[in-house]
Amino acid sequence: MKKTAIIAAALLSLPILAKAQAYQVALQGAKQTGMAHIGVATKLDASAAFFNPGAMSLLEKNGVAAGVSVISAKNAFLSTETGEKFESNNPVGTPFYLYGVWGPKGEGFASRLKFGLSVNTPFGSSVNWGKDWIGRAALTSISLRAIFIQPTIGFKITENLGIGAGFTYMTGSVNLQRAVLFPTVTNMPAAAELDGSASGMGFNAGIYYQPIKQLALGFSYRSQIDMKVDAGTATFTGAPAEFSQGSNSAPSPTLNYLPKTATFAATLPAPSIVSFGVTVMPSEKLTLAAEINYCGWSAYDSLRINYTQAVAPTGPGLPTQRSLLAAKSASPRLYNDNLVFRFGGQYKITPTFTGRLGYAYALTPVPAGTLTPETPDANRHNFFFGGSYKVGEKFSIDAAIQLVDVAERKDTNVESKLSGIYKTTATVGSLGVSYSF
Amino acid sequence: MKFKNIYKFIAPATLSVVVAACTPAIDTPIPMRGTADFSKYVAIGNSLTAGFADGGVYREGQLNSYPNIIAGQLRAVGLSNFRQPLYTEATSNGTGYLKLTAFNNGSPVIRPETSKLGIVGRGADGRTPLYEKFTGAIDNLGVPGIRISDIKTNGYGFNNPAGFNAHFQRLLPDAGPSATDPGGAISYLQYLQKYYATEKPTFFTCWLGNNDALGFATTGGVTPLTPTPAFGALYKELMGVITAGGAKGVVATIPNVTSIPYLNTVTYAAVRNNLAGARAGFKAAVARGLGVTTLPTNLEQLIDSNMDDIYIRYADGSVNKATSADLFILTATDSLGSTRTPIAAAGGLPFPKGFSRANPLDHPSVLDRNEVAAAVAAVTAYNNSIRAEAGALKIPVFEAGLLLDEFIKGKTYNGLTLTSAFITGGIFSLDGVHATPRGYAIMANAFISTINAGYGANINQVNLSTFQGVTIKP
Repeated sequence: MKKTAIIAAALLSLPILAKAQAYQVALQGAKQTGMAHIGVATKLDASAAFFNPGAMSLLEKNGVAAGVSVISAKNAFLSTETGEKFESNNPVGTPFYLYGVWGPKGEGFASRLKFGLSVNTPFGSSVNWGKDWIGRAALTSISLRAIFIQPTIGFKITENLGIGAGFTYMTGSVNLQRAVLFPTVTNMPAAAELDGSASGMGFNAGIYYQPIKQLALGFSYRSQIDMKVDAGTATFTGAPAEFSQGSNSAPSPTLNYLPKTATFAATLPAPSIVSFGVTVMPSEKLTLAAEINYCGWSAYDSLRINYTQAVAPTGPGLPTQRSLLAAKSASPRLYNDNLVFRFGGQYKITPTFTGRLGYAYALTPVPAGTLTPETPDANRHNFFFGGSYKVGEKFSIDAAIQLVDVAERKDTNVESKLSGIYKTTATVGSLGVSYSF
Repeated sequence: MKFKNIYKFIAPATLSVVVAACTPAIDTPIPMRGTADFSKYVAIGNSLTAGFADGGVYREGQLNSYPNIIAGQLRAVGLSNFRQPLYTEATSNGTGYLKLTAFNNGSPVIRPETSKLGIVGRGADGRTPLYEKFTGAIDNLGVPGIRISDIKTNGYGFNNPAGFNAHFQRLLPDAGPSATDPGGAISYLQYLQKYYATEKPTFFTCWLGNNDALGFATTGGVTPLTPTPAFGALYKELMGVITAGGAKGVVATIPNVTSIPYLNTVTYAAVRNNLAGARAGFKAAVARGLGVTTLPTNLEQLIDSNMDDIYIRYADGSVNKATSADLFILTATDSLGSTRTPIAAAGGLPFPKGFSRANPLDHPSVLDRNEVAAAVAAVTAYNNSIRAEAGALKIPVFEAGLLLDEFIKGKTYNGLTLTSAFITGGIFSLDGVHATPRGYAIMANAFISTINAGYGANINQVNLSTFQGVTIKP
């Protein structure tokens, strides 16, 4: 037992894992998170409803699983022009998951079916740079919250081959805040806040094949979901009276002005993800797994914000922030599809305690020139450690820690010309429980 | 596994989380002086160097001069002190300046500031104001109004009946010219030589030559351009003086004087838009004068043929239709449409100025297309001289002309887009010629960037968003 504790301590002192890339959050199961968030070719518990509905169909028992994570992420920015360094003060993110899988027992066709429900938060973001930093005209804070609800059905074709599919409904909210810098009348700071609720739909499907006891293969596809804000509210505050709509009988023909509020529509894509995984189980105790995710981030071509009314009529003087204030704005993002490589494993140290370890490398989808303070992304190293403690035959407590090291990255945004070096680190703790019956 | 072992598991886990949650580290670049010595910095130049803004020199503008901003950044690489001839708190409005007090239906309301001035009287010429003297030692030697053609003029700052530069006079002792003390009558170049002899600067910025073309441009071509050969010879002499003692530095070229808002705010198109209204108004006034409701056909035709476009007078006295290539000065609106004495040659009618062939806009109100070409050619020639003299001495050049051109379409810094437009653009102050604090910060950054490139230095630029554009001062 002493030896176990020492191993655990040694493993835990390693840096551990967290987020995926851009505004994706890969924390949908504490067991999977412990081993690099690998789940497409494993069937650990009810979380298979999310990771691979094909694997879900082969689960031997019904079950439920739930968990929550705590993300503590810090972003830093160094202006290459002024040498000033700024740090974000992000609120703690708390993604969660909730899964249930049930299937009829016995013989016959019905016993081949499994019904599942997945409720989780695979996309989200929370960054707050404050109102005084050098890039405040690009962003002061963003909060993206999204819950994905997915009823799922699995079908066991044979004892070692299963398929499944689900329908996904997404609901959430987005809140984006920026400073509005007037070239004129700079002694009056103004701000824009864009707030709206979002929704979207998609589907997922998967196949799981375990040709021999020691080998499993998994494939899953999650479709792109367009998170749509149909009628968000933009609120403009602090603008000098002379530039604020309604304070003059006739708005200035030459000067920019702002309405008090405006309605906007916008869409943010949750990209499609194709996953392929291989799991090897050389012994009862040891599981080794690898997985590749191909994420369709090229769907994020631009951030379009369409106001239902003119926000900044322009005269001879150009508006201060064309991207923000144009009636129809499109800020370039030009993301690329990207790959994430995951390696992990678990070992049953004792009959009740299982230890896990993993590493993932995510290539950034963000090309040079469109890095933004919302998603200061770069290639990421992710280190994972976790474990499960079984209480009795049916109940398991699962915990994981992830350390994320996002590479230092220098960029000048083509639109805002915000120029500097970004660096992000994050620490995530996940705690979950699972119960099978 | 017993629960006590769980605690052993949790303790190191917690520790590793705490360690990992440390601040993301980015190496902050260390300011470096490279091959230059910044321990004694002198700024040589004209109104831009002095921090002239909104049509005047005042304390706030002086504190935002580009040399003062540069000096602030040079402190990290060895500069200890930089002195400016600041107006005192009691006379903080200095020469007086223009301020934007409000917008009236979108039109700027601009008023002169007349309180807390540093004006102490009138000069011997009876018109030049005398400013409160500054007698202390200074390192910002910017003199508003000075041209390259003025730098060897003795008595340029001496209060005398023939006229003088009041800003230079302010910096000089009052003694006046005499055999024993020629101080009061020294030229700007001699003034620089005296400074170099006593202060021994190690680093300079020099931005002179703008006024040799600017005066021509802002007077619609009345003030003559400095001839290019004279400019080149004087600039060479200047460079010899300011590099004395091995001082290193940076010189700046001259921006295109025809790109400033002073000449690009009242446009031909905008004036032309008012033509129909002016014609209709004039016809109505003439009809009222005659006591008729319908003008006689011949009068109607006379007015129509005279008021068919915008007319300007060239330097040679000829009257020409204006085009979009002719640049109206910012204050041209004051005389446009003003009705003057009846024009005998045009039926004795008092045609409104500028809107008729018979009463064209006066020569000083417009920099016509030929004068624009002459000004541009002069600036190009001056800049060639500056580059040649600087190149011979291996002095890095800040290409100010190229920088200003970028603002015609708008240039974005950290999400803030600035243009060369009047008031709305954010970089030009209310006089349409000089900069706002933010505009001066842009100049300071450009100088710093030139210094970094030229001397292998690493001096940080300033954050533009912390500097003001045009502000409302009720």
